[in-house]
Amino acid sequence: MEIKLYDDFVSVANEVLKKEVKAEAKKGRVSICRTPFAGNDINVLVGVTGNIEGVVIYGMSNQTALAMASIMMEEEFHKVDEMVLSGIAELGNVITGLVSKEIEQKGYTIDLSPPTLIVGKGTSISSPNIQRIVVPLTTEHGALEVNISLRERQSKGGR
Amino acid sequence: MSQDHLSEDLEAFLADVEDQLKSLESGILQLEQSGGEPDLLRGLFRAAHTLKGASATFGYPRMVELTHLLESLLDGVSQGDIKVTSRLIDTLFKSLDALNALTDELVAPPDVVYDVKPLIAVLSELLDPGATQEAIAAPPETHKGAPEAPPTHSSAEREDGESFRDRALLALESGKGGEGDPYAIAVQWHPKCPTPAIRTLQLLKKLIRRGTLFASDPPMEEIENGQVGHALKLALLSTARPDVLESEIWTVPEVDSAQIALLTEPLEVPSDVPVPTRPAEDVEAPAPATEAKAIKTIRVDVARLDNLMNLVGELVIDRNRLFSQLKDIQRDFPLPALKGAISEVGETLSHVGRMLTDLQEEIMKSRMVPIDNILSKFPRMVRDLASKEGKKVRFTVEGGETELDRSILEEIKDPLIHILRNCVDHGIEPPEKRTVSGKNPEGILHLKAQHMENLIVLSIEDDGGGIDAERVRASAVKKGFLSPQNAEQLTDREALDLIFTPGFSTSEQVSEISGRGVGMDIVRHNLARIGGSLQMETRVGKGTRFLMKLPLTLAIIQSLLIRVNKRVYAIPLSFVEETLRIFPTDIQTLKNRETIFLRGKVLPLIRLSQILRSHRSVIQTNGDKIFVVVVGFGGSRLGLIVDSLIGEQEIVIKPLGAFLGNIGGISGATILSDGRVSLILDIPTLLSTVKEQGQRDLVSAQA
Amino acid sequence: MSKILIVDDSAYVRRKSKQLLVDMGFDVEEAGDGTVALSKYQEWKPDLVLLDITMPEMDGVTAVEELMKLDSKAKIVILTAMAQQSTLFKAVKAGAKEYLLKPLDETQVKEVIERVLSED
Repeated sequence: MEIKLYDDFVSVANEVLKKEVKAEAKKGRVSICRTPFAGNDINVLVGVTGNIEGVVIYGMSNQTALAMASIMMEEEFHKVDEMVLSGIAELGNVITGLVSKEIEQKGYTIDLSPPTLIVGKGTSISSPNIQRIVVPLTTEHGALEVNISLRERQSKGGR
Repeated sequence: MSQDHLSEDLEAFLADVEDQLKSLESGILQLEQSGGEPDLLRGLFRAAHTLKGASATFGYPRMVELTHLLESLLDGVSQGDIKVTSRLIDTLFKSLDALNALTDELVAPPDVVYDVKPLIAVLSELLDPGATQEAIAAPPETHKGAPEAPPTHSSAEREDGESFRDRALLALESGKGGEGDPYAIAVQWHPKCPTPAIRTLQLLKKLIRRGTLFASDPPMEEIENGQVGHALKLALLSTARPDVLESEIWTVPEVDSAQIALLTEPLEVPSDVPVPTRPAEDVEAPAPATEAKAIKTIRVDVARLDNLMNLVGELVIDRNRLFSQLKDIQRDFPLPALKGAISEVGETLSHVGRMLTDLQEEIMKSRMVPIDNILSKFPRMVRDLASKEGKKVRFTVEGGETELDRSILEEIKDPLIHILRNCVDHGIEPPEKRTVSGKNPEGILHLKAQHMENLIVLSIEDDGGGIDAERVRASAVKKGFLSPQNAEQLTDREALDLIFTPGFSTSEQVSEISGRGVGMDIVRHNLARIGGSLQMETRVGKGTRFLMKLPLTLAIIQSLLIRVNKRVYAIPLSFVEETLRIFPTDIQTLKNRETIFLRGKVLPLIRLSQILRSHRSVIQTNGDKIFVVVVGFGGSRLGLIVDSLIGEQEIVIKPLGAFLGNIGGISGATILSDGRVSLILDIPTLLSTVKEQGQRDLVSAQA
Repeated sequence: MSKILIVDDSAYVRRKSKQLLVDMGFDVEEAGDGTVALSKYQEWKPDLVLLDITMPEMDGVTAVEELMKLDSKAKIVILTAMAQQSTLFKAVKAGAKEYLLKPLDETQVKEVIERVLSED
């Protein structure tokens, strides 16, 4: 289950990054963490409910966010402002949305919350009882860290 | 896109691809023969288009790339921009091979993947001579942005067309009414469409402006809840003209097909016309009638049908068992008070029996597939073989719609290929030779399938050189199969039958029969194993005809039950010629083999108790009469000495479990009415074993 | 020149889609949430509304319903990352004409907008 999901995330994120920031992403070492998520400079959190539930957090550094936003909007950004954040949030929104479409094709129902931005290191986000799979995706603009804490809902499964 | 497709997706994809490849193949062959009919070209284009869509949905880039070019090429051909040349045909065939190779890779990943680049270069060149590079560089168009959704199928998608119409007519009669004519509309959303529910909603919004909807499939409540698959049926009362309505339908995005007809004029084919499961070309055809065929068929996992058959088999066995138990009760408790009750139970059992027979028949029918399923590969094979040999062969097929049990179909594929190869290799002469003998340089190879009583008869006929009995005799003598004197004594028929002797046809060309390792004996043997037979008729200079007779089903056979060493065995009735009771003193030993004289001919005997390697190797020969079952196959006869005969029974064949492996002389097992397992004797193998033991000349050749 | 109102809480999406539509020759205005969109619609009378389906203040379906109340002939195209098929379905049921998948694709945007504008 988890393996399938993170593959979907990797391929969809790849596609979106290619289109939005014109960069190939390379998948780093995937790890499974049970400790709470410590947070990056900028974190986009998307809540997931339905047969599949949990949370997906996209984290990146300020530099990466600036570099990516600059490509996305064809304008140099030097400060992480409203516009940059909204671009990064949209990135997380689109990736999760498209992955959820994949997951729905597999027979699950899924609902996503609008993306929530959490800015600043040291934020601790824990998803009790759900293991967190961390997939680092490296691009020429910096790294995007995808934290996937999802599980199949216990009461009623998929098909 | 994700590599982790569910295997169901893979299966669905493969089934889709297989259908399209079949229609591509037959289309290309037709294109070669008859040139570019517009309908044919459109069909080809559609098949390529569908393949492209399917492979994009599945996420198979190499196939997408290839099918994209193929689609463009076929589009060009149907527009008249690209001419039909032999190079084009060859390239199309090569593309077909490539697609097959790519498909195979999905099933069994090879060490080295198929390289599509050279072919892509050729395709691009054909598409736009001189601009090869550009064409390669241009990526195939796919839906951008989002990964594409695999097709999902709701249960409603396959609802029987008839019942919808009935329902709609009923709704029309009981409805509040409105103005205009009642129309039946069938819409298929593109398989890639991720949101059929939304498309359906958009369509309904447009149609209700044109009239009153009074029935739908799926029902309106389900549509309202978004439970819609890729197929949709609607009944609409409208004053608008059908073509207006149809173009209205097409304004909604992602429509794959749309049909409209008056509800009172059936959209579907009439129900009394048999509707065989047809290969894909019909599904692809635009005519409403053929679309209806597609709606009327469903795909069922073969394993499920096999399982059903098995279950019914068990029931048949139980029924037989109940019968015999009832008889036992009648015998052991001959109470007058029970008599009435027993006969009532007996009657009920008979009824159950009849129902079971019906059920069996229905399931058997559902296992039937048109022989077209395997025939479709043959035109290509014959074409390739003929061109390799520098021959011209016109291959025609008749009766492709004839239906056969699926398992039989699989068993006869190789024999058919072998026979067709023989006909092309050695039957049909080279064009020059044909011209000299006053024939059309183009040879004719005709395959005909027909249903005759309880059999399916396939005839494969060529108008080639035929087989010369004299040369077969000479060859048999040369190979040491026969002495010159024996050969002389054979009638022509018997001589010709020698080509079915093991080891004969793998010889040099003298026999005029292809020596490809598999001899005609194997072909006949394999057919016999499934209860079929093979005969040959030939006339020198005129041609050869092979007649293949096949049973309708494999699963249930009539058999003779016999007992050997307290065990019960079954002999398929098709091999039993007669049963004899002889005195042990009738047995004469000739050249170390027991034989009897039967109507003036020597009949070799074997003691089954010895063959079946049981411990008690000697049966009593105390002067009582003993039982002999005379079996025959392929011109050979043999008497089997058995302990006793039990009688005839319909048996359900169960394959031997893998743990039993391949037992010599046994072809399967069945469960008897008393619950015991009985083995089914493999007569053809028994006969050939006896022959190989060196007593070949003792097995009397049948007159 | 047709007038298009973009409604999305994401400044980024508004900016990107505005660029795209202006390049195509449309007259474009933006709104950051549903409430602003409603008043803008009354005052500016756009020919078409591009509406994000997930917004924090007023969700997409409610926005469609409110817009349809204002103008039963409103032409609304939903913007979605396909996150919630069921919500999208509700929005179309409520009166939205079409939907567009994010990330936006230029050809698709053009095709859909031109088609919806041309419908009566």
